[in-house]
Amino acid sequence: MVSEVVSHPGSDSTRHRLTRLLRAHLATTRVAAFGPLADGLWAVFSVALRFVRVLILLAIWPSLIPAGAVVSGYGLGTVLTYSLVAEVFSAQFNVRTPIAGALWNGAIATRFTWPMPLATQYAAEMIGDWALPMLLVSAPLLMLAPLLGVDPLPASATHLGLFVVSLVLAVTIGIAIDMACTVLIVRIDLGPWVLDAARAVVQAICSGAWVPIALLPFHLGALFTWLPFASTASAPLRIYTGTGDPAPLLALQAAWAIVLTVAVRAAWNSSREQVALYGG
Amino acid sequence: MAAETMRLLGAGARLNAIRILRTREQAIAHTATDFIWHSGEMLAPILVALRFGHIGPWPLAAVVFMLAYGAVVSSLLDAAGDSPWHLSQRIGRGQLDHYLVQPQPLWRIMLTEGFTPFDFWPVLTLGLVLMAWSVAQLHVTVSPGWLGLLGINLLASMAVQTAFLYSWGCLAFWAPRGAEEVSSAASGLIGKVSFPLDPVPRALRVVLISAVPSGLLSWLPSRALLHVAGAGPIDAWITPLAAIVLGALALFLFRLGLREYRRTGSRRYTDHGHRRR
Repeated sequence: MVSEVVSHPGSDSTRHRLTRLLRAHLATTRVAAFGPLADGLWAVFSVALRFVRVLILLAIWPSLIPAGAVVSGYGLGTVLTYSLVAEVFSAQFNVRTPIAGALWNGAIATRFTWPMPLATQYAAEMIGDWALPMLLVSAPLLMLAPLLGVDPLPASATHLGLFVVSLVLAVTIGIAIDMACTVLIVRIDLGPWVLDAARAVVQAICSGAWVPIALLPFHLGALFTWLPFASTASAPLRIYTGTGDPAPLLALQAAWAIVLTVAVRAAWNSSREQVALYGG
Repeated sequence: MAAETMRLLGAGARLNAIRILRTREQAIAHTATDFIWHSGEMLAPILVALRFGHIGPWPLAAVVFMLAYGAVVSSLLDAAGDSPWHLSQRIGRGQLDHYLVQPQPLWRIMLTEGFTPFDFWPVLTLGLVLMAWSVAQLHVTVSPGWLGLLGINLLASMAVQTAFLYSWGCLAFWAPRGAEEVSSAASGLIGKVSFPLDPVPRALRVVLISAVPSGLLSWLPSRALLHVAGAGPIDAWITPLAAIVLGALALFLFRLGLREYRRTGSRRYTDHGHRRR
């Protein structure tokens, strides 16, 4: 972002430009936050769906793990907390910026003219999109957790602090993966829904956002732990629930964040000239 | 009447085949995508069932049957066309007028629009193969009566989903702008259930087979057909009965909405053809 600011023509100081850039991102976030309400209260439908989804999952676990039993390090209470927190932060564990759709429908054309880096303007929009679901689902879920028979508290105060760090890294890796998919769409001229299908499968199985990967059969969890997808969801959730050692999990997340950001940035810079727009 | 409907369905199939043959790479990519999407949706619950050997009273093979049943229903619905998913858009954007100027009755246009029988066969095949596998694993006695009941329930599940989407989509007759996207929102709400609902609290189960009938798209019919513990003797007829009730409700709402539309017309365009925002 800074390199783009410095290279941007203008006479203002870098500090002023950065301030303006920050304001532009905040404005984008604010507009996106209120966007879902533009069509009335229909956004509540997806909210209801998330409640149903988590209620079903919370009801399923007691039929699989009896009270008092521990399966692959997960007792019933831990797995219920895991599932609840996974739903509370589901948008952050499954990062999707609107860039792929915009690339396909042509809306990205005008975005190239915005005085903001492409990746961060879409990231700002995505963060705005989180506001309404956070308010209508995530916060109520955390407050209602005791009524649902779930302890929503982290393993300790230290684990909560490390969870926040891990969550930031998870979102960073998620944005990098999203941009990597965008590069693929550009380079091999794929419709975004083609990659969406593969990503949905990966998300459901490899990330641990849906079911703890340690509970998968055939020791798949031992393999998936090392993939970047696990760093987008499983790592922060394991830190929150105290089912994983925070130090190696955070180190792996930081490594993936650096590697993916550098690689995707280079790939995008060499691909952006190939962007072709079909929409209108 | 039937001949004309068949002619239009045939035209849809022909166009579908032409599109596939002319854009082979894209057609393969789209078909593969659909296959990955559906099979991936099934894979995660299957892995959980594999790890634990069961989900509630459902053994692994029964879970596979339920998921395969859901895949068959959704692939048949996808092949039948997409008008239920876009009804509110059609009404809200004034595109219902495009239907009304065609020299066909409205029901026939909606029945035949978007018929794409060749796009979804991999998912349908996967669903049918997995259903056959699980039936063999569970030693279900497959009689003509059982197959008939299976067919009736499959049709009923499709009718339930269609009627649910139509019922909500009709809201756009009265709120063309606010409810323009209500059909897609409703389709998100009635999404397939990935797990058997037996362990779910009774109140939520009742909601999931009535107000938001996701449970009728795979769980309840599968439980009845496989005689899983907890299934009642009349369970196999609940989905067909619900299809009739929901279908009647959707028809009533659609006719009521059309009456409103006849009075108001499309409110989204000015006399000069510009969109009113």
